[in-house]
Amino acid sequence: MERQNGPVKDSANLNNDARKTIAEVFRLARKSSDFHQFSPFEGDDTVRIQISYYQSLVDHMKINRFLVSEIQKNIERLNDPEDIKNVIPLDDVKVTHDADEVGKKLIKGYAVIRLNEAEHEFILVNVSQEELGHRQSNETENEFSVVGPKVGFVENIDLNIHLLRQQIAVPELVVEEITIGTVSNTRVIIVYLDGVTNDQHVQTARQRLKAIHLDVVFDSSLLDQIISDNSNSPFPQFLSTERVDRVIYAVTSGQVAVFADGSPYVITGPSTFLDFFISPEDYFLPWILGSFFRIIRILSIFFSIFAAPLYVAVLTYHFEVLPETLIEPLIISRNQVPFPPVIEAVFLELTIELLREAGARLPTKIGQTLGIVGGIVIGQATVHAALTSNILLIIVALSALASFTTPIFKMANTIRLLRFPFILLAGIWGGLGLVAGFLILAGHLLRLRSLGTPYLVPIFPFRTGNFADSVIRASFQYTTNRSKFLKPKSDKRYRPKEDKEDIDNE
Amino acid sequence: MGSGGYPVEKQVKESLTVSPYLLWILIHGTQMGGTLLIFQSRIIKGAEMDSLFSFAAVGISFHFIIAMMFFLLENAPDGDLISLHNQLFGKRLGSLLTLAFYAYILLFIVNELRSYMEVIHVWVFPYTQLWMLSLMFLLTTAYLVSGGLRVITGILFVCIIVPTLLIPTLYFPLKQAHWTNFLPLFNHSPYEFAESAYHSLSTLLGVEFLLLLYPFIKNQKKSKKWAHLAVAHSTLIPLIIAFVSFSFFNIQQLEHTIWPTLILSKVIRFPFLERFDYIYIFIWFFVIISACCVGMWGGVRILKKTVGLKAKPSLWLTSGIVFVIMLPMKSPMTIEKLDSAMTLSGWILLYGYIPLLCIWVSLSKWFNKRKSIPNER
Repeated sequence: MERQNGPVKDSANLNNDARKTIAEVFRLARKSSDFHQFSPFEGDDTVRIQISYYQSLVDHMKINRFLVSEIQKNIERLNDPEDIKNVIPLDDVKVTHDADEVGKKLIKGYAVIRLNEAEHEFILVNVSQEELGHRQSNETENEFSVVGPKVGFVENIDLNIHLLRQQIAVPELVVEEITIGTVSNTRVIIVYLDGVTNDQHVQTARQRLKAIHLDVVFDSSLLDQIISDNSNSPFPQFLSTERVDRVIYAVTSGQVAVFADGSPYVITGPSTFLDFFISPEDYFLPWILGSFFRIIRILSIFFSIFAAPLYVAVLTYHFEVLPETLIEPLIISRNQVPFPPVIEAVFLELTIELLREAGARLPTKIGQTLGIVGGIVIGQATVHAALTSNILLIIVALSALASFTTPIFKMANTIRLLRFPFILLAGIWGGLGLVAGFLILAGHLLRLRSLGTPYLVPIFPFRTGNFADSVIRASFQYTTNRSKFLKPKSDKRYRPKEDKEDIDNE
Repeated sequence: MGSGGYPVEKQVKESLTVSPYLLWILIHGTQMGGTLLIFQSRIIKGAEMDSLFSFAAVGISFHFIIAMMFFLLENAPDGDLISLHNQLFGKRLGSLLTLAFYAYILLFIVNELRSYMEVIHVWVFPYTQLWMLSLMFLLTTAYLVSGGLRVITGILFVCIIVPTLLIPTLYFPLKQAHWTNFLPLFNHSPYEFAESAYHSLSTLLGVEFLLLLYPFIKNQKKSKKWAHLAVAHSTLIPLIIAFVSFSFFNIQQLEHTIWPTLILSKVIRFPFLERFDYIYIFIWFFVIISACCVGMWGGVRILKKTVGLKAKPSLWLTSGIVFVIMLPMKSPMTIEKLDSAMTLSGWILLYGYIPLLCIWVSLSKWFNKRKSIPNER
């Protein structure tokens, strides 16, 4: 018997080794108490109809109103499966000859109609209840912006695609579905803009996704990690976001987006290092403000990574670098501290990490207490107890603050992690260790690739013509072109009117 | 087979190559090195303040050397020195000569690392063991080199951008310049000028790596101008530094100063920063690591091509050899010895060996032509 439809072929199934008969499929299903089989007629011998489905997966309204009532109304005319197909007023009804497919569709929320106990011919009706158990809306709480849309993606993939299609209203938006996960059979969707996105990116993404072998896809971040070019890197190589506008921006500029069912986060790639420090709000504010905030955000990366290590390096080895006026307050604040600066810095950094981790795990209502206890009480007490110096406390708190300005959560985590090796290097080698660490970090970033595109582009390899929207966010009349390093098939995003301002323009 | 001989483009795999403009970065980054901290007190031996002209002359002569190298590379079967050696001298003798170049590369790396280690040792960490410093430098270099030439090029890009930011700080010593230091001009004999020129060379060494880098360049025809630009750039920067130091120090001071560039940076002062020379010292890490990376990469390439070792083991082998060579070099005197060895071998290589090879190659081309013409008829 031939397999009849495409998508099923992609899923690696647990029990695809042997062909099953319908009896076996039903036997396995009957073990579950939510599997329901009934016949809408009793006692009539001319036509025997059996309807089977999982009660927990189907929409009972659809079954009662469209399935059962229509069959009962037209019972006289039902002689073969095609007749049933014609009377049911639902869009997804089909006849299949494959018992295996019946098993797969049953657990996706289909109802199976069997006519006259046929062994090889079944009718599958989609009566699934998609919305049940999912939230219908998501305010982008984790990637907040003051100005701009607040709608975020949710756990339901169809709703997510709907959100995307509403904003990119062209038929060129292509949605490709594959199934991943031997147990979860999760629907994963690759989205790209035909005629803009380079085929190579789509091809690479498709290939890597299809090669994935997992049992359950809990979240799109699992896919992110598996399809990363280098999985031994603390840096995220794909951007993951819950904001609709970010995904729209990525897709229209020639990137590929990957949606996974059950995950409110969408991953987009190829991403570059700078992408992680762009906030959608930059585009909603005037370009001068947008650029200013973006520069602040990029400077805060450096501050966040190097502030505490510099303190350690200077106070451990190079105190002669500081002028007298500065060294005096430092001596006073460190006078009673019994530890070397490295231990002091690591201790405080760990405290901040504890606070952050505890804050993330606690319910929001208790979170406030944590802020007060952790931030104020512990901070004050450690200084009073002379465990750390005031100045280091300020530096560490500021650098923690700076790391939170990164809009993408994964990147913010990476930056906080990077502080620890740098503090240790500064503790061992002082300024020399910092420079060595910086070089190794640069060497690592230069090796990274995202879907085959260099991670540090356009800084290196240096590509001119991509800087209108990188470190600064230039005015919209200069950001008409897509980034060249994404190799888009069409360069222009939009064409502003060629009306240059002039003195006394008439 | 009349005129050309070999195909024009002699590239390795496309995915390994870098754009032609990056040759600028590669050559300039390799030329700049630890000697920039120290060269002023070396070049004044001879023509004193007039040595600026000797230095510039050496810089200009480098353009001819570069042109000669390009001539050699265009006539090499694989576009590098290794294949040229094998072609001219046969496999065995050619490999031997290539290994001599490997020894020269080792000397180059050791010279860079040892002179910088001395700076660190004297200025920052007087109590640290030298072998620990060299271990750290070599591990960093090895990690960077293991990324391949593309990563090295990126690192060189960083290593050029960051120290370039220091050039504006030379404004501070210029505020206290004594312009009369330069006068009188041209009051030295040609021999003294030549002596200064001889000592200028070690600051500019590094162009010879073009002999190995060439096959890794895309569009090799276009790359020539970038190589010349690199040499001009590398001549200009030491000239600027030397000019500022000559205007700041007089000749007696310079004679007794070991690291004039660092002393120069001590006049810079900010309200939050007392000793700007520390910034110079640490940023010089970028300067020497760039030269070391290209040097190490060249060594690995030679071992790979001649001995047939794989890249990773030859990287560790080269690092290990450099580490072992540096172990006994504890005395500060070795720096001067290394520098004179480097200068001498640099002169022999650039002004002796390469012109000689050029003559050899053009003669053999000429003979081949004469031989082939009757055959064609």
